[in-house]
Amino acid sequence: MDRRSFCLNAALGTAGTFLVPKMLADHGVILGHNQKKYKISTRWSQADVARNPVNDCHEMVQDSRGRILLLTNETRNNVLIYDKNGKMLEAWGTEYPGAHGLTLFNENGTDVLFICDNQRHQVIKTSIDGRVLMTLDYPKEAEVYASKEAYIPTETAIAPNGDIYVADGYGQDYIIQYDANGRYIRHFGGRGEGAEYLKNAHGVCLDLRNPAQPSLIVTSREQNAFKRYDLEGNYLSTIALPGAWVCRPVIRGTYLYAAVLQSSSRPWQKSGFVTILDQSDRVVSNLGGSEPLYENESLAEMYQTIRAFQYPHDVCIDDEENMYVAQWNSGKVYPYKLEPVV
Amino acid sequence: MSKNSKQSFFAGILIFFSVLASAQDTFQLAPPLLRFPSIFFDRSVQVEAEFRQPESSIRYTLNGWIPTEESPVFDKPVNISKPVTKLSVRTFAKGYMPSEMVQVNFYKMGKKAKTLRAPLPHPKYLGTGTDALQDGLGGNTDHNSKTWLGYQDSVMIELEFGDKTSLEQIMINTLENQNAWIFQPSSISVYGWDYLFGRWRPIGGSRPDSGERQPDVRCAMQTVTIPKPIKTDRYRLIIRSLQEIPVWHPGKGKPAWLFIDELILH
Repeated sequence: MDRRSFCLNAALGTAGTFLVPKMLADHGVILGHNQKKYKISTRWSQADVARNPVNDCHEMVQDSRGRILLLTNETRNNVLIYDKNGKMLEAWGTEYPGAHGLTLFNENGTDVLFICDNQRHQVIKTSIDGRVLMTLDYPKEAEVYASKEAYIPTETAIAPNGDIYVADGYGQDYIIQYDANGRYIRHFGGRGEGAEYLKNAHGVCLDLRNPAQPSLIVTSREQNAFKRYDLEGNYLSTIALPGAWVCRPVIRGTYLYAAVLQSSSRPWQKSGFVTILDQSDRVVSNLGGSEPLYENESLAEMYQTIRAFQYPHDVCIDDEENMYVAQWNSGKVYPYKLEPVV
Repeated sequence: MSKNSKQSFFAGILIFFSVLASAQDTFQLAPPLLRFPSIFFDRSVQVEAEFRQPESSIRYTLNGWIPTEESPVFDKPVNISKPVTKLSVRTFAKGYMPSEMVQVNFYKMGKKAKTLRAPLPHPKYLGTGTDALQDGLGGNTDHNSKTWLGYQDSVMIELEFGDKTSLEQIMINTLENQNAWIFQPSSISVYGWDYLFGRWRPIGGSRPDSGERQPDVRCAMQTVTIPKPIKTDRYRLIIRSLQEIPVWHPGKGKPAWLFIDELILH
């Protein structure tokens, strides 16, 4: 090798080092189908594991300042707050051993959080920095619970008028509706034979995409389905998602996004993926999952095809359409970030 | 540019791209979806495979070897008719690590007992009742499937044939899903009714490695060979569930579940 080519190599090496981050962004693995494809980064979080550990990463939301909040059942810091680049900004919360559901509501211009704690059997409303504003105990008024232990809330959804819907997803699968002050209004759902009932009502969200007809979408995870109800709890329809253990529905723009904890075809084998439905409730993309296929208007069984995720538990879509994925029981991994490919 | 420097230029490019490759996330494919009516069959069974991932392929073998990219492509249903066949499948696609291998054993059915008596399974896993043990259905790995009978204790099964039958081999299909606390049985004993002495005579048994760690969810066929077959019309099987889950498992010390879906008698 002559001196000139040695210099050339050295230069290339240096160029390589500098160029990697930029090039990486252009060459990462692409997940998804049709108009919803994403590049994945598993190294988004810059949290220091020694200072800010996580256990199960259950749910994520973005606040009105653009920050990304993560809820974990690690009581050293139940809530981790990041910027969109994965930099840790702050952390709080040591009193939520069963931290499971995280919902953000903008209450007259102020962000508030609703935390479902499935070990405390409570829903806790807090300020964005963790000050407790209200605690909802088990709903005695519903007269369906013999004890607080029978009630294991997993998720909340807040209506524009402030009504609180709590999904008792690991308890009796009821949806309990309260007014903004936490007064019991009614309950519906629960278990039973018939389309209006639920099994593992793990998530709930408000669907305001059709302003003329606001509705609730509730997860019936073990039935591999979402079920739609009106705001008074009358059952409307079922969105069948064969093969998919869907977690909570997350609506942004005209799309509905959901983490799929696992595939029915490979239960408890880290067989999760992420699914995306359009406004007509049709699956348009599966991230790490099978290509959506409709045969005679019915959706063919879905399943994991790429082991990008283990047990994804929630997705969060930020104001720039980026996706964050939190995972349960997946080796205490921090969330992943996925950027849309256009 | 000299020949040498050209070479090193390309070497530089190579190093550059290999750095790129190593800095990326490389994912493994998941195994394909297999569809078949049962792992038990009378004459033959047709197996279908599906993997809706663009530009991927499913490869298979029928001899127990690990499928490679050179193995046959599973692009149409595979027909299986040999008495015992091990189907192995894996998925492949450019840019991904091949999937883990999935293996399924298929078995030709044997003789059916005239009557079969078994205890009622646990109410949560009743399946289709104890007739399920001789219905030729089963072999999927979903413990919620109706083909499985789930027990939390040992199981005694009595078989009557109506006429004298010499059993040489008994196969019992069990499920292993240690994450769900379902283990292989700790032991199996086979007895035949001895008319001469008017008692049950032990004629065979086996001791599976039930406490050994097994990360996969799979069917575990328990095969008991009877060294000296006897002529009798009544048989008794005692399938003992694992009484204490081993210490490495979160359920240590507690009783394991025992799941059975079929008996094959030869």
